[in-house]
Amino acid sequence: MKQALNKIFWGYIFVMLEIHIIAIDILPDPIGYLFIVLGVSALSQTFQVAKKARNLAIMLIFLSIPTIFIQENMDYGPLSQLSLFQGWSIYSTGLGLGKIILVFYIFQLLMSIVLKLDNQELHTRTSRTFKIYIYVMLVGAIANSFTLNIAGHELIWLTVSIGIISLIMEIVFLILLRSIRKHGDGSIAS
Amino acid sequence: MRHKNRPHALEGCRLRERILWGGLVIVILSWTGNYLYFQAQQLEQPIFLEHYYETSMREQDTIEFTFYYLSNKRNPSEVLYVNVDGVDGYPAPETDFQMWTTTTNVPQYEQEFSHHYLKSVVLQFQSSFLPIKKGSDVIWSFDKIDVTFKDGQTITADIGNVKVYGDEPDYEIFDEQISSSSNQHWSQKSMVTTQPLTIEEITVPFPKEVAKDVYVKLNLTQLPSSKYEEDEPEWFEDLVDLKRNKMEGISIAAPIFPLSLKENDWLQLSMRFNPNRESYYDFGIEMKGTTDENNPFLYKAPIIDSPYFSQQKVDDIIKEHQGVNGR
Repeated sequence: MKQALNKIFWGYIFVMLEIHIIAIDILPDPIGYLFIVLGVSALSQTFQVAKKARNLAIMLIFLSIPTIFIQENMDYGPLSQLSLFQGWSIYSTGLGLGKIILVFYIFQLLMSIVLKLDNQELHTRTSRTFKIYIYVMLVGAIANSFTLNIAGHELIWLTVSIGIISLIMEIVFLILLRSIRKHGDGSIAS
Repeated sequence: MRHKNRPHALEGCRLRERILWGGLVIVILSWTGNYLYFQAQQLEQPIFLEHYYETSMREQDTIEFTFYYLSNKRNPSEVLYVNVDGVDGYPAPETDFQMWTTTTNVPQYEQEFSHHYLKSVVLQFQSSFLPIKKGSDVIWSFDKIDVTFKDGQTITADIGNVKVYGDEPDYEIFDEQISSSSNQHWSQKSMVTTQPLTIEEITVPFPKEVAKDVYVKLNLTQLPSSKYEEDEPEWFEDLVDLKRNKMEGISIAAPIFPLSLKENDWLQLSMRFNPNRESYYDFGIEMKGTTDENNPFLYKAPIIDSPYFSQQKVDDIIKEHQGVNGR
């Protein structure tokens, strides 16, 4: 299990860094999703819920292939409206939503794992992080849609805030993954 | 313990899955709504603003004007050429090659609004192709231009009014002393007469469109005693510049003309422009009169001023134009 969680952890870092460090393609998304698939597949025999995550992650491997070839200009600035809704934007928004769904299923998997670990504190923490992560990411995605209709300082302010907040949430998620891996190590022999 | 917890936790998961899908539906609705609003804000065609320009063909092979227009931010429209009364005009070539090579993908604009850019284009016309001859006293005036954009769209745009004079005689009536102006909608000019003369009138060109937005006062060493009192225009209060307080003299609307001046008499013109108007100015306040040697003269005090646009004003302009176009 330690190895499986490790793969999810590194896979997620691959996916996350592609989104947050602009124009750097050295950590391509499909490889990140592949790691996640390997990670959740290893767990799918023990945990039924891992299958949903695996199927979605397999889809995302293919869906995210264009991000390798297209110079990704995630626009954080006043020019973002120019490229919005020119296909690429719909695609990257959709990919972002796919990622939220995937993280949702991974969280469900983590909930099952911590339930098995019988660690009340970790259970509460996972449950709380789960809720906050999903709510914040959904609100962020809604707020993002308003970038179409605002400009100037407000646009910069909004996109930077969304960027920082989602980065924090993703780090919180990664730290949680790390903690569960550590606890899982001691409790369940994989 | 484990078995007790499990149904409860799964219950929680199911509940949250509903929240996830509900949330995603809201996200998609929000994108759709924002996209529809965004689409509704798009202009079918660029909107040219009003310009009141005067220029003369004196000693120039080309004449040029800067026109301003509102364009969608998405795919901003660039002018390819224009046609006015059968005369073609072209945008002035880029002079700054550094800019040209490094910023080809960055749109050039004067001001940015939430869905639109205020853009400008410098249009050049060859003097030899104009319908009037250099040196003649004919005026070429136009208020519409046919504009073709780089995307192939051609529109007929109302651009205000432009007057091109075949000639602009230079009467050496005044020694200009101090001339100052700002982008804060004011301009001032003081001068001294070089000969005895009589000023018959001082007028603002484009009387119908412009006169209400320009306020001019004349100041002299010895002001004629006039009982005339005129209310300041309403927009005068909106001028934030302190300079407006220094506007000394008497309004040119006052019945002070004809006004006789001796040689070396000092006079000052103070001009203020409505900051809330929507038009661009490049013309001269006209002073007409006769010298004591009985030669008529025409003097022009130039004004160049640009309006300030707020988001609200841009929205109003677009609404007005779309009403006209029946949209």
